[in-house]
Amino acid sequence: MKTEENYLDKLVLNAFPDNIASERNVTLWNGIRKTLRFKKFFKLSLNTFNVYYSAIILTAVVSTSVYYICKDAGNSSPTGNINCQQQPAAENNVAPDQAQSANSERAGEAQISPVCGQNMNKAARENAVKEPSTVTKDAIDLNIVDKEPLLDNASKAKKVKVVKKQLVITDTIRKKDTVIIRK
Amino acid sequence: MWTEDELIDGCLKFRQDAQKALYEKYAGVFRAVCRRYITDPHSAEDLLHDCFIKIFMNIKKYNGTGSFEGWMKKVIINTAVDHFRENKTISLNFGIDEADEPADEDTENNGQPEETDKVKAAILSAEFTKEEIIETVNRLPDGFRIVFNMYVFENYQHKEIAEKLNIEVSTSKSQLSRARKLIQKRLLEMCKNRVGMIS
Repeated sequence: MKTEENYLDKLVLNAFPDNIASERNVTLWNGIRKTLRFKKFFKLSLNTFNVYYSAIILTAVVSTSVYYICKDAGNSSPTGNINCQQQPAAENNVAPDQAQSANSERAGEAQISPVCGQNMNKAARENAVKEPSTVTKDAIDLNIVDKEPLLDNASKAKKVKVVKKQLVITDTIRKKDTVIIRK
Repeated sequence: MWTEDELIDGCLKFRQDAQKALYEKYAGVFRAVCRRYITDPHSAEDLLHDCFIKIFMNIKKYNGTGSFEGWMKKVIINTAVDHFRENKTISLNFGIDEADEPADEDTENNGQPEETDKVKAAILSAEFTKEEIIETVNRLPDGFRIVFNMYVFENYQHKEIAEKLNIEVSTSKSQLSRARKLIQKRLLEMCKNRVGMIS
């Protein structure tokens, strides 16, 4: 059996050629060359496209993230009104510009600055007189303290005659702080 | 004259002169390989074209183990098998021609042909031409021919053939045995038709 198999294999091996020449060699090579050029160009384009595509995606993601971060930051910032920083009575050092821009909305501790009182809103003042129970905010805005050092800054050498008026003390206003309203 | 290393380096850099030199050196050899798997000359040329494209595009995968020509032949065989899978259905378990042929006395006798020496002597003495033998092999069913080519020409073992064709080792062995018997049978018929040598 084995000898029979071997003789057939040998017969076939000897029959088939190892090399077949063809007149179509040049034509076939031209076809191969064109295909290779296309594949090389396509591969290069694909790599380039991938780079550009990745760059576009990255830019879009970064831009969107920056946009939303800035948007959130803008929403959480104060509304543009600078709090009238309340200086303790003992310090007596309040800058005029801070007083000028005061329009405090803070309902926290009673922070009375005489400087801020110079810019008191007339309406707020009237409200403070009419509705003493609801003048917490207004009281802060009015905040004139009859103390000479503070008055000097606020009045600009004007001597202000004030009439002390006791307001209803709320939990947020300190007893020692009084609002003086000029009539 | 290019050395093999120069050819490989040139092809890795997509140099056209290196690619052309490689093509001119191996085109005839690989055409013969393709003709063994695909009998139609035009289809064999298409297969050869695809094989060279695959070789040039995947040459960086050649890591230096084994001969470069052997690596390229493997690419060709894989491409030929893929070609069959895409275009045809390889009937590896049943030869197409065998379906219409009556059962042989050989198969009834546990696959052992009778009068082996006489058959062998008759075939060898018939002095068949190369074209006749090639024609006989090309008429084999696709499955038989692929296994026969891989075993006889490419010296693949049955385990490797089974892995490449996704078949069992026993199937590969039986396909080879049946291919040989079919070749022998047809050559014997040609002998009988010629001279009537064996009764």
